[in-house]
Amino acid sequence: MRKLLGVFGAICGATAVLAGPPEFQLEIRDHLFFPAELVVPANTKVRLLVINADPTAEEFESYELNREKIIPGGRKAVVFIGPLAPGEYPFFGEFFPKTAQGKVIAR
Amino acid sequence: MLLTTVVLVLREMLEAALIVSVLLGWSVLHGRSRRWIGVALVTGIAGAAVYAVNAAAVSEWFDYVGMEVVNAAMQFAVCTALLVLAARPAARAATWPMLVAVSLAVVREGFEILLYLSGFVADRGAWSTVALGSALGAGIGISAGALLFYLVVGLRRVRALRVAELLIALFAGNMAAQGVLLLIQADWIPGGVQVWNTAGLLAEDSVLGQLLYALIGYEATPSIWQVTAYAGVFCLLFVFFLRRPTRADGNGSGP
Amino acid sequence: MFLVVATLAMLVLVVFVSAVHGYRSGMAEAERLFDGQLQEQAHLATSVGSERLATLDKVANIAFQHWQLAPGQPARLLAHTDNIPGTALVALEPGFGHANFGGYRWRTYVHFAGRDDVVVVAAARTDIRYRLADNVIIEAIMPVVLWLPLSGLLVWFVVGRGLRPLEQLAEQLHGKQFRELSAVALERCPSELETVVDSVNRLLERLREAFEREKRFVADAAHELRTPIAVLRVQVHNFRERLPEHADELRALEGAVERMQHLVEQILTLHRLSPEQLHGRFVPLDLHGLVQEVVAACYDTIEARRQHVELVGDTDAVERRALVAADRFALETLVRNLLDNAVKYTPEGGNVRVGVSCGPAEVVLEVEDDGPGIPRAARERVFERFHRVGGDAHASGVSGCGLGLAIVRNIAELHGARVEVGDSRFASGARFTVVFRRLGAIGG
Repeated sequence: MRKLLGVFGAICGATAVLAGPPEFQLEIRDHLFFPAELVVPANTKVRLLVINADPTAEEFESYELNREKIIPGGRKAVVFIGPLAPGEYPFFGEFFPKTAQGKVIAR
Repeated sequence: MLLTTVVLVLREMLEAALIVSVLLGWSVLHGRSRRWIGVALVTGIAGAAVYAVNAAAVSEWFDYVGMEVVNAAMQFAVCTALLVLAARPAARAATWPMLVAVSLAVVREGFEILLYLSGFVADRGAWSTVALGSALGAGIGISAGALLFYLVVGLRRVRALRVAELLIALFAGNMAAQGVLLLIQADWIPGGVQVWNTAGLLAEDSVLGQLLYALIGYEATPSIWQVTAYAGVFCLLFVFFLRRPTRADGNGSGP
Repeated sequence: MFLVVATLAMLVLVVFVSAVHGYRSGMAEAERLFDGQLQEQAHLATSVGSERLATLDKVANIAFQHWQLAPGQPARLLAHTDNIPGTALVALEPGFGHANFGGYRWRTYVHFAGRDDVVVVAAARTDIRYRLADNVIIEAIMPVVLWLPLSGLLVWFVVGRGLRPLEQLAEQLHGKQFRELSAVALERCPSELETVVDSVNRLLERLREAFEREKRFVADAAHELRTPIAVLRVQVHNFRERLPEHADELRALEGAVERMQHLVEQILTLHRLSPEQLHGRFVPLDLHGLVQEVVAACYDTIEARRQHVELVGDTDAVERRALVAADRFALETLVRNLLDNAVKYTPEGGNVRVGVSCGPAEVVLEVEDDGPGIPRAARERVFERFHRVGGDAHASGVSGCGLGLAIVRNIAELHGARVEVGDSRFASGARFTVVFRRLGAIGG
């Protein structure tokens, strides 16, 4: 019994590690995205950690990715995207769209 | 900057104005007092301010997806309030579900505007532009709401009720779909397959696309779960509304 | 309200949407203009030797790079201004693009000089471009928005003024008394309303004619009936004398004829008290004195029923005189009908109290008895024509036609007085209260 539980636990642990989607970082500074072009694996769900280094709030928005998320000034937030078909997915900061622009490239 | 402000303020305003006008028209059609709307708006704006002040803390809840979860909860609450409103024919004009729906909708939309505007508090040079943009956006949003209200109230009663029912059902479906999308974004529920892609036909960032997004929740690339939630809530409300109040239920208003 | 709000909303919608549209097209135009400028600057930078390029960055918002293309090798940077890094920022393909560096977003233009395979990369800061364009365009649309409140005021004023005749019409129609059917007239009648006013006036005219005909018919009929009824009454009386064996039946017949005569008299009274008949016949009258006269005149009837009548009210002093503006005949009829009513429905030996009192602005007449009273539910209806409490099977067994109290109310209304019915201060019975405006009172 104990052995069975151990095996079960090992499986769970393994899946937890395996299932954790790869993480990518995106930084907002001076109303600009860094990097402006983010390459992610295609057909995989990824965890996008957006760090807002500006004192003002910003909204990460993408019609192509179907995402919309507010990140308060000086904070971090997580957006899950994908799985994406290979291609380019532009995103922008809705609060400062003139400068805050970038795209996710799925390969 | 101006256009950004207009688009942002207008988009949020339109969504809130829609539900405010329809529910206000709804209570007028049922011969009820409209006083609740003041309470709902004040509550909503106060709530939006509280939420905006605490946005930073909320956003870090649940491993950095707190805002999605809280917003989704609000969307579902609005949806539930509208379902409650429709569920019992005898209480079609009950005030409190409308009060809940409007104040939460205002919190949800107002919070985003407040957070946006807060970014310019320090930037004096941008004030006039941002103020002008907000005035334009708010002016258009409120005017559209007022016209929608008169459109609903101005129709013949039976038709007006049908139109209002349709708009309420669409709005609730939209809320449900948005809530589901937020949970997908937070990875609380799986993404599911994309049902259609009409980005080429009608892009979401086009003027018409934005308008349809605000009014009926148009999505160019929705997930199966969004569509299911939308259709489910819409049909449920539709079925509820088919049950007409009988005379014995005390409709509470004359013809 | 609807008109003002809807018009304003429409105005705001159209003006603001066109302002936003203007901004958008203005912005697009500005962008084309700035792009053209950037292109030109790139061309100019071509002619500047690479060795002198670094001296060009006098203007911080424009940056240049010179690249040397060599087939089969990566491009080599020849020179660059200080405000741009010496690395590849955009693909070296001719045309426009964007790049982020130095904490700003830049609009870039790649220009192939066409000599020595030199490529020029020119970049301009987008924030500065947008701010410039923003300022210019906002200057242009700001007035539109600022003037909007004024146009709102104008709309409000114009709509309000345009609707004034309609409001006036509504007011005049609303203020119409039941029997007052004169034509409505507006100070300033817009053509749209003329038809309405005409129709309303025609309708009022027809209504008035119909009323007139009805009234005249009733009055004429009543008048014509007087003589035959009088004859009938005499004849029945004679028959009773001559046929003592049928005395009982004939007495009943005589009673019926008497009631008919009373009814006809009351109908004639009602007719005589129409506003047209009374118009301009109001004189100051002392209600107290008038009540005394009426009570004296009715004394025989009261005595016959062994009832006790009390007249209350000390209004002899000049400053307390119960003066009202009234038509003498009408006021007398009112008092007599109330008194008759009380006497009629009070059992033999009962009490009737008549009171006249003066308030600062009103004169109050009260007539109460200790008869059966009037049930609360029936109180409003006692003043209707031909209505009798409990129908014809009146408990008191007293005859009546149901017009007495209708006449009382009619007279009261014509004098701007109000009549109420309540419980008397006796153990049982009804109390009728008529409140007149006091003549000579302040504001009266």
